[in-house]
Amino acid sequence: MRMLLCLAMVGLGAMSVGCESSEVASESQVGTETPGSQFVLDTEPDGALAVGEARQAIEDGQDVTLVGLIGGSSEPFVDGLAAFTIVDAKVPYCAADEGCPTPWDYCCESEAVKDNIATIKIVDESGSPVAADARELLHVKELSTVVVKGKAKRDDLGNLTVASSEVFVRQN
Amino acid sequence: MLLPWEYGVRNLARRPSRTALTLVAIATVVMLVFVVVGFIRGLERSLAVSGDANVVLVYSVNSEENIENSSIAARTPSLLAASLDGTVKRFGVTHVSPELYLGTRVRSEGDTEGLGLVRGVERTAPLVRRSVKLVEGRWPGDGEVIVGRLAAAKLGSSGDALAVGKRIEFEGREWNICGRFAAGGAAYESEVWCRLENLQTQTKRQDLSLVAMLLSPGRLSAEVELFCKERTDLELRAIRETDYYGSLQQHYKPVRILAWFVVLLVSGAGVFAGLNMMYGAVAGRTREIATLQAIGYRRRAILLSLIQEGVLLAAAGSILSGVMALTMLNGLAVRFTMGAFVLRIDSVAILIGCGVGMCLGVVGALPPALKALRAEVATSLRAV
Amino acid sequence: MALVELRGVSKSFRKGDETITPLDNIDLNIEAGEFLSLMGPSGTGKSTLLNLVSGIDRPDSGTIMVAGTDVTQLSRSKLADWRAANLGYIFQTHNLIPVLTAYENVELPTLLLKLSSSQRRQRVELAMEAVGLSDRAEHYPRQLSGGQEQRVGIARAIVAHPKVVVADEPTGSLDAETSEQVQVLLQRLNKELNITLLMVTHDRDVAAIASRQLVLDRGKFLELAEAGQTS
Repeated sequence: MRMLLCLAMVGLGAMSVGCESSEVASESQVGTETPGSQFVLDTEPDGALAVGEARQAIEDGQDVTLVGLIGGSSEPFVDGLAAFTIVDAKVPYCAADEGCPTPWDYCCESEAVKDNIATIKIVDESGSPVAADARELLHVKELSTVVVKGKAKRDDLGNLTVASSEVFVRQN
Repeated sequence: MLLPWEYGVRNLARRPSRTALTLVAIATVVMLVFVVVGFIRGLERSLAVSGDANVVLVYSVNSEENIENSSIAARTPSLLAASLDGTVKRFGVTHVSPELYLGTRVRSEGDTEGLGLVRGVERTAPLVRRSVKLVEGRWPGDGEVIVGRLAAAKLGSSGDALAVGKRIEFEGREWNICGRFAAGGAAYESEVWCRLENLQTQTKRQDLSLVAMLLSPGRLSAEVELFCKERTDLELRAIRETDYYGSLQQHYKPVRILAWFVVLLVSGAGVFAGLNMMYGAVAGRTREIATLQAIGYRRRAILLSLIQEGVLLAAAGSILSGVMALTMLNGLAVRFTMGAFVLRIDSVAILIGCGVGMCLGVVGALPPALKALRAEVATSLRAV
Repeated sequence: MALVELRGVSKSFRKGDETITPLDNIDLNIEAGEFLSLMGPSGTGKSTLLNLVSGIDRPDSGTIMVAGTDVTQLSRSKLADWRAANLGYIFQTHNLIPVLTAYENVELPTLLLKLSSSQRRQRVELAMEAVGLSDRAEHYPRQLSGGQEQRVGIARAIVAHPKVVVADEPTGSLDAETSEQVQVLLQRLNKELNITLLMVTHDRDVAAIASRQLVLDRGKFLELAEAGQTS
């Protein structure tokens, strides 16, 4: 049931992306380009701030370029919406040889994560979150390093969300 | 050409005591299969019907999958209602149910005490938990509780002890039972519900375990999830209720695998009953089987007749067990860690139980029959 | 051409380290309507020969033609079909199916033939009548005497109208009086119904009822006499 629903969501997401952007090349047209590539940058933007630093320096509504690793909880991706959390690269996570099945949850560094986490939501031209799975859309997975360019949303409690339409995925 | 049907049937009456014993053995095996499959089907059904696709549960990100361990701020429901516009709102009532949920010792009349599941709720609870129906009595007032249809099974007490008008004791006070509710087999049926503020007072807690929200059709639970991700300070997580119970299905997967393994073991043991019976039945008929071959019956026809005997006996055992399972096992409440559920002897259980029974007949009959047919006809004709 | 023709038939058995050859390159003809008895001491291969003719055993070499069919060339299942249509077998120990009535026992071979139910009933009733047991049709074998059981066995052997009937010591387990009745019955079947009979016996008196008697000794036949000469 859950799988069916996920498939339906992915399908829905793919449909909406297809409708909104006629420039998106299909796989058969250009081998390297894939659906969702409208949000993916080919070159890394300059001047990216680390998440921890951004949480200190960035004001609400400011344009920002942020870099971090996808993670911060056992399920950093939002099912059905292109959104996820990223964590500052300075926060260590479990090494592969430690045998942790979900090193991206930073379970040993949960205190450090609180001040070094930000939420990224991929938005369309109207500013609405894209209804698709970010993993499919951006070809990312947990612990992928991403550089996102977008508008920051801050609140008094320190939460930082970036609404972005431009994501660069670093090859780890 | 096959042997006459009567040949197989009457052969069963040839050794009545052995046949009767085998019938009992096969019926017992099939009954055990019914119990285990009924257990699995009941558990699966309980988890499957517990979730509502439009309901999202919001609870603490630190509690993993266990909502009993969750603790979230009391202001969470109002925050959610204010921040998200996807929640159903009718006649000015937002369908958001703040709940305090805990496992605690519950003492019922007759001094029986068991680990019960208590949920402190507000009047919005049945608006969100749409399968819940008050089948007797009324909604709880101060110091009152309503009990689920399977709460007695969960507590290990009699149904009478949890009747309307009786008293139960938990968290240091006595509570009057003012109603009973059903929830179509959902997990809540094994719970005791009381007013949220009463439970908070008794447990000296001001927090909540979870908030259940009923989303408007077409709204995504992902919106709630995104809100929880954005508000990292609240340390919340959101999950669609169906996914939550789906994850419990995964959680109980080892139990289900173990149960299927038991089915396999029990069936394996049952094969020996079938084998024992058929070896005994065939061993004394070596000359008879050779005679049938000498007359002109093909080995396949004789083999089918011997299998027919085994299957006939197994079918009788299966039917016997099936009738007993349907009348005695179906709907029987079973206590389990997540609550209680009823054994479910449905079409799948019947199919598996009877299928196992038939297999016992076939598998039990095959080796002795083949052994008898492999023997030289000329030699077997002179067998004593 | 003879109804049954054995040419160069040999059959050996291994018994421990020793090889026994009860039948060594034998030839035999049995004409249609003939009643042949086969005698010989125990272990000389009488029953082996019977089983070879019946197709329930196979020779090491040689051919066995029965009514134009070389039974040594048939597969196991084809042999079963062939037996159903061409052969009747009378056993020493009757070998009736205990859970079936006398009627049902006699009916068994007819179930293998393409007959209507009325044709089948007619055949069974005739066979029961031929052995004088019409009034015992609904009796189970345990309710019959040894002689009656053997007569049911004979009815079962003839009910499918086989081309040849083989009898393995048909009186071997009967008392003298009953044995006499069975002998008379076999003679009648041969003479009145013209049934070809091959009977194995170790009893010289029983063998004497046959039209031709052979003695099997050290793998070879010795022709004793034509019918009537030994009595």
